[in-house]
Amino acid sequence: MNSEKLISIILKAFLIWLILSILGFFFRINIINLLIPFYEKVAETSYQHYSIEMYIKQEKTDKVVISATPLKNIIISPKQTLPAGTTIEGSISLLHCLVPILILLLIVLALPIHSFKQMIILILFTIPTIFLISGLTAPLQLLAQIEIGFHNAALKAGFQREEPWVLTWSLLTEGGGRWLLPVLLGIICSTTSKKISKN
Amino acid sequence: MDLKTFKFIAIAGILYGIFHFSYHQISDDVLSKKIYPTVIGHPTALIINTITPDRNVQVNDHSIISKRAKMNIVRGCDGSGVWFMLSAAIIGFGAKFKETLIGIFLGTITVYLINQVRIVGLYYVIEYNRAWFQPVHVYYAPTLIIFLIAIFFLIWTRWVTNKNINLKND
Repeated sequence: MNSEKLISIILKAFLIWLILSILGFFFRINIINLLIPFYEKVAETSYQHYSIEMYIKQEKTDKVVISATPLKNIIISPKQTLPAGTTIEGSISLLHCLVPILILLLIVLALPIHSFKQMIILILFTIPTIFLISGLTAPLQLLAQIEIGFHNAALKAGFQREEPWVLTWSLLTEGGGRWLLPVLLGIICSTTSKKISKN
Repeated sequence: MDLKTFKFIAIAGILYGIFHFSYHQISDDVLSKKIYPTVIGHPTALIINTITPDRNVQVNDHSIISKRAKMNIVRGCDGSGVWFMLSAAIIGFGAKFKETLIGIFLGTITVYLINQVRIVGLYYVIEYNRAWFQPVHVYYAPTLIIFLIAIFFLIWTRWVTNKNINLKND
């Protein structure tokens, strides 16, 4: 790769970042509103003993709120139980949910696209990937918020709860995994579409 | 996807997991009382006090405090996630040992400098308009950092590739 090509890729990537981040910011509510039914589905599949609803709360900082109602009693610690039918809530920053999508699109669009055929294949790969990374991040992070509540309540009562998988996963993704996932999946989308379009 | 790409993705993913797990073995106490003040807090205060001496920023454990703003550095705000990602990618690329070491060394400096700029910037954002903190902190800064790190990785891989091509030609 010569210097001119490198500079053109950098400039192209910067422009893509700028445009996508501005668009994402202005249409953040619409984008997340579209994804919320999917988030709910993922959360309910992961936590089948809860009835789950999600909604957007617009205040100083927009939030995605999870409202979870256990269908059976939840044992928090040997001394604490959350009765079935009690609704609990947790929330995360709405903008936070957009970051993996933005990174995926940045990688996919910044890497060279060699033909129209590759572009079509790339789009076909990218759309399900958006859902995949969204499903692996926001809804599980929301469930982790519920678990953090239980964890803190148990600690207050002097008990240590076993770390559930959703909390382990959330820590992994929050530490930077939510950036790594879209980067790696973006590279997979790009290289696979290139290979298929050449065949 | 070819074998080389698959190998790169697999190695980078596994290494990231190992780095993440090791990082979580360090207690919050050690991070907030020893590592963050020394590595992030005091250099940040020095930069802010140099740019704007009237702020008289002080560091108290993981907090950066002035009369106008207070900011806490917590786990994850140290650039570790990006550093793990970049280091995993550099190792996963499969360059020669010396080139990999140079990549990790320069990458570490790059990540550190970018993160310091981010933290200093966030301090001024809190001071200037607290409402902007959230969008900058959770949205614009992380995506911009990924963009900058990707550029570093691109430049490093270009250097490695060109070096190997030149060696073959010689």
